[in-house]
Amino acid sequence: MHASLIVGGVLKRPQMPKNSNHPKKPLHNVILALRKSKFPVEENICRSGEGKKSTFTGSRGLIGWRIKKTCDVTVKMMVDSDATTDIPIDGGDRKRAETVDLTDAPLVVDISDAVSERDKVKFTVHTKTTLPAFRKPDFSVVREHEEFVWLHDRFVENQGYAGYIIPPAPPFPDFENSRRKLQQLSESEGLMTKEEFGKFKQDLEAEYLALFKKTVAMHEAFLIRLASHPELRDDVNFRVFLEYDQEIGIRGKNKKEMFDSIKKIISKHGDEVWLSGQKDVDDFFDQQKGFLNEYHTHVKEAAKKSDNVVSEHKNLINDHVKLSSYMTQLASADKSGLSKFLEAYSDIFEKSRKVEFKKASDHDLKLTDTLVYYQRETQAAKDLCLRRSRALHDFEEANKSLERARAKNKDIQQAENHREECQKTFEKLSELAKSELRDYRGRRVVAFRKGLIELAELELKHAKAHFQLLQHSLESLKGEKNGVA
Amino acid sequence: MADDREPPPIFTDVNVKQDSDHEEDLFQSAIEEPARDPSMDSIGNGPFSSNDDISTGNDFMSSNSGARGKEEKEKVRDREMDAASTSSTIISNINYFPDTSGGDAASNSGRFIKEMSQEEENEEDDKFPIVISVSEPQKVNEGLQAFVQYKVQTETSLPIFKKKKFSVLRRFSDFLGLHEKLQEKHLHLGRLVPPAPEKSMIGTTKMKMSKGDTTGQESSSGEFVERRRAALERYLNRTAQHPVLRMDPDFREFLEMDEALPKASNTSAFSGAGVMRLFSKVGEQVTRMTGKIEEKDEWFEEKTVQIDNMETQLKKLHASVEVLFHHRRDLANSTGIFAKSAAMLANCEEHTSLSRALSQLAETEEKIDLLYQEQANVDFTLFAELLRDYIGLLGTVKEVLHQRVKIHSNWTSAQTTLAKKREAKVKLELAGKHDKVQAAQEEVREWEEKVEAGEKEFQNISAMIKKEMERFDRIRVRDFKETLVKYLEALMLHQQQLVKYWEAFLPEARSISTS
Repeated sequence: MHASLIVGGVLKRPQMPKNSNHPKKPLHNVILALRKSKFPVEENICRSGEGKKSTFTGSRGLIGWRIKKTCDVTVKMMVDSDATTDIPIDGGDRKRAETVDLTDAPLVVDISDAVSERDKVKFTVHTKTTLPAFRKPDFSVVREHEEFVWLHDRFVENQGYAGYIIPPAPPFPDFENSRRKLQQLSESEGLMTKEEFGKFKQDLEAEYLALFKKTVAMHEAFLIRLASHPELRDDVNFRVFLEYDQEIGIRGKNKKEMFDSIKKIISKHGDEVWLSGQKDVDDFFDQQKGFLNEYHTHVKEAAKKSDNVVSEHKNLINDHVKLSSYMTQLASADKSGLSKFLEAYSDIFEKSRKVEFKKASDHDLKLTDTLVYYQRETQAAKDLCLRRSRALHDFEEANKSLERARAKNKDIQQAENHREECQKTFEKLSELAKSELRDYRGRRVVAFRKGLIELAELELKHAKAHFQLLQHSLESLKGEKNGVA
Repeated sequence: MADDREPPPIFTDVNVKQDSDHEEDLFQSAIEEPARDPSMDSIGNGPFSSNDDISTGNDFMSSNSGARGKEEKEKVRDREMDAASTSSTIISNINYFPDTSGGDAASNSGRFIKEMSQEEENEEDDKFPIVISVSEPQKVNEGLQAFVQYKVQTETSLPIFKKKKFSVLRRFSDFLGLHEKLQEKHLHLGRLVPPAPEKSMIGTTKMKMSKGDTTGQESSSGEFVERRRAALERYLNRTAQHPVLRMDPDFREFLEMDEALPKASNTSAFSGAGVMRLFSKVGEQVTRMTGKIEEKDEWFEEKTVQIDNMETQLKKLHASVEVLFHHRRDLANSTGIFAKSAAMLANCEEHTSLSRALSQLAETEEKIDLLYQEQANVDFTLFAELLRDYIGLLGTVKEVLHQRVKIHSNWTSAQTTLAKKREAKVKLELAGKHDKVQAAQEEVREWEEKVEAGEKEFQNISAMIKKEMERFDRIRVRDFKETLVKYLEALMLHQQQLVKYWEAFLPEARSISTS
């Protein structure tokens, strides 16, 4: 156990002892301490890693987490100084299939730690490599979300990578929703019993933890995609990102750059519209472009609807808290033989709630996430097609200007060179894009297959568990009944 | 009651003739040995067949799976138990579960309920010598004049009724009128008269506004009519359960008389009587608050507090079950919408086996949507309605308790008047006004009688309430247990169905080829 101390937004963490016998299973520690910005920094002293004694002084609405990725997960959350709970959460579901043997892959990247403070999440990016370009075989750096986005933008900007699907940048770590819910909960604390409050809090913590794990996973997936790509992994910026042990100086965009990026977005959309009418010389791409556009629309829609299902399910789960609590109260108001029966009944709701919670979470994890990921991945593939369309357009334009030059009999050589260049760019790009799109398709099928199988297995498991829970409950109610009579 | 022993009327029914020997015995032991009497079979099965044409998702009277047919015949009461397995059309056909332990779950629970009911067989009130079904809601007229008419079918072993099986057409206001009459006659005696379902302006207006047939399940007013139908049926059977109320001439007339009942004038919410009722209710609330008596009887003191507590808790629980019901329906809707999106995605997916799996997923989600809807239905018809009925019944209990308080205050005021009269008489005697003493003596005697009558009335109502409450509590405990067990069974079957759905989907997901 190591202790970490976060004071005023600075993380000081002793180097974690690593067991060298298990290089494939690094000891992952994710520590998250999320605070509300309205509390003064000096109040937020978080000390985790001391088991139950983890304390947060002087502030309400504070969440501190210590996560060991090796399965046992402890969440600590405090909304009031005396309400601290330990909740073990089943972390076994998230297997690290990405951790590849070094002999197969010369570069293995993972995120070993993540700390969330206010609106920032700091990820510890851990690299193991046999590539000679790196100075050491094993090292770690701390990166923020903005640096991931910076890295992604470098890949997009680099014309040399125009023929590749650039792995989509991870989404912004958005804990605002959870934070707001937490705020609401602590505000309405007086309106509910301690037990109800505890249950709501517990659910919120689990939701929060899932979100955090998801964020980390998304950032990790981005790096893993880069690291496993035979061309992209040799990028100099990527190497800087992994190796440079200080902050990569990303200054905020100045006005001109802001304007440029807006212009870029507009021109991209303009290109999409303008180039959509382009007649493609290659049937493969013609068909792919149509497919990707349609697919993106539907996968986006499905992801949204799937997310709705999960949030409706969560509402239903929350209802169980009140239900079981009122049932208990009714039981105590009832002086007849019904009291015990109702007491037992109330318990069934509580147990059902837990099963339902698992159902909702797993739907989210296996189905919604797959859809969301492929929404972004498809966007990346669409971007690739757009770049190719632009190249095709450039090539066509070069052809035209060569003709014009020939007609005018002026600067023919220059135009020819230009044309040749454009042709080369376009042909190379097309070739790369073809194989990239095939890869994308293969990845998609594999990901969906995995997601759907796991979804079905988990739903099946939970439904069976729920069935058996109800069955046993009915039996014990029967026993209860006989006991009273 | 003397009515019970009335000889059976002229035998017009062949069945009755056959079993006339058993008639007396039948009433005494309708539950213990009904199998002996073939006519009981028809009583047990009657409601099922007659209701087929309106059988819908939540129609508990709809035909039952044949598996338990024999048990049905054993007990008239099983009719209600069976509802658990017929609570939805989807569920009624489930008898599959992969686990060996789960295989006979349904039959296990069926047996369980039987055992539950057997325990209480010896209690007189638990017999159902009358079984009433309300069915075939039909809209009569259009526009503002529109109303819904229900078929009220009765099957009974009671000799006081002319036939064993008969049916009449009644409209909602008739039910309210019946309740008014019973309430008037029995409330002041301390009897608990089950409340009739509440009027619903919104539901009624919807029904009136909608064109044509509104009794189908699809429309929202159809849902309203179906719920009202079920509530009316529960109301009549609750009344029929009461050994005294079921003998009331007005009740019998309601069930038996072929012609339409004279329109109950004061049941409409708009009418002057409705307004008066509202005022008198407010007035009663006031006296209820001010007219507390000093309770000498601990039993009543305790009961009054307990009833208040229970009412508060029931209301809270009821509200949260309604929220649950709404959220479950929302979940069903969003699942349905997702199913459609998934189907679109499947359509556009170019990889053949992935596309197939996705469309299977869409189908699975669609089934789950229906399942959630069924579940929401069960939330409402079993759980929420039970609670609502009992909130109403507790209201009746409170009214009866209040009646007792009123009688007590009449009695004590009579005592005060008597004391005054006596005092006046003594004064007159001392003053030597002998001519007036005679009259004063008369008055004293008159008030002595009143006090005596008041005391007797008070004792009577107290005793009656105790008896009624005992019965009420017994039935309440049984009602709650039965209904809540039914509810759990429905939930369990839903999970079983869910297992089936995902089990069917899993091989589809596995068969996605990644080559």
